[in-house]
Amino acid sequence: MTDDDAMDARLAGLRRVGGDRLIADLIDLFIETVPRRLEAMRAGTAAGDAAAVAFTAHSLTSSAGNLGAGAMQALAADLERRGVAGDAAALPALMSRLDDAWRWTRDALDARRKAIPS
Amino acid sequence: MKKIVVVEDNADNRLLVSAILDGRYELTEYESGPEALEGLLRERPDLVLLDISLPQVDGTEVLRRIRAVPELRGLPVVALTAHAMAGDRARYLGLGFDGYVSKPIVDEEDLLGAIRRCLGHQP
Repeated sequence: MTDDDAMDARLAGLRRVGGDRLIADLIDLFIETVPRRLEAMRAGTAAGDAAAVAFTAHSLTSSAGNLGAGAMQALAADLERRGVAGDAAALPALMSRLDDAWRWTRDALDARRKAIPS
Repeated sequence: MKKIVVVEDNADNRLLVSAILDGRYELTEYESGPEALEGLLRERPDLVLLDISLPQVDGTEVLRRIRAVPELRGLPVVALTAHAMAGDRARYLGLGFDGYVSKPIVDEEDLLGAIRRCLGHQP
């Protein structure tokens, strides 16, 4: 299953629960809140504060999972594990991959959001 | 309609839980443990859905405080957690939670089933 297929399957599940309104609200909230969460994680990474990175990565894991953003979910889960383990050296490379995954995810969600009639 | 309280700091998770429970249960939402404890004392619900990873006071501590209140004795509390590691379910049940639901909630039946089990199959 491609990342696109996984996202569409997840959004179909959300549509069953709460219709297009729920999807639109969740996408809007995600796109609004992720930049500052990533910013907090970058700051924590730069400061070597692995515990702070782990806390934000934890919430990002479930938020990404809610929308079927599999790559972000997996990377955030990995950042949480490394953060909890205090493995600060592993964080910068993972953060860079998370930034890449965010760019793809933002565009993918944006396209799906635009397809929802207002 | 049975009353459920959800304690969850992430707005997206509150939105999702609210959509799943809509029309089935009466839901009250809190963003933090201390705020929820105040609310629970004002009005006792039938069940609490409690996020584990809350800022400041985490879910396991909120549970401990709930269990210390005589008026809230027997209140079913279900853990909501994105940790989902092997052995988590047993660990949270061992801490005194009555149920466990892992996030993200991909299948709404996971949440509804956990609630029904705690409420003794009363919808």
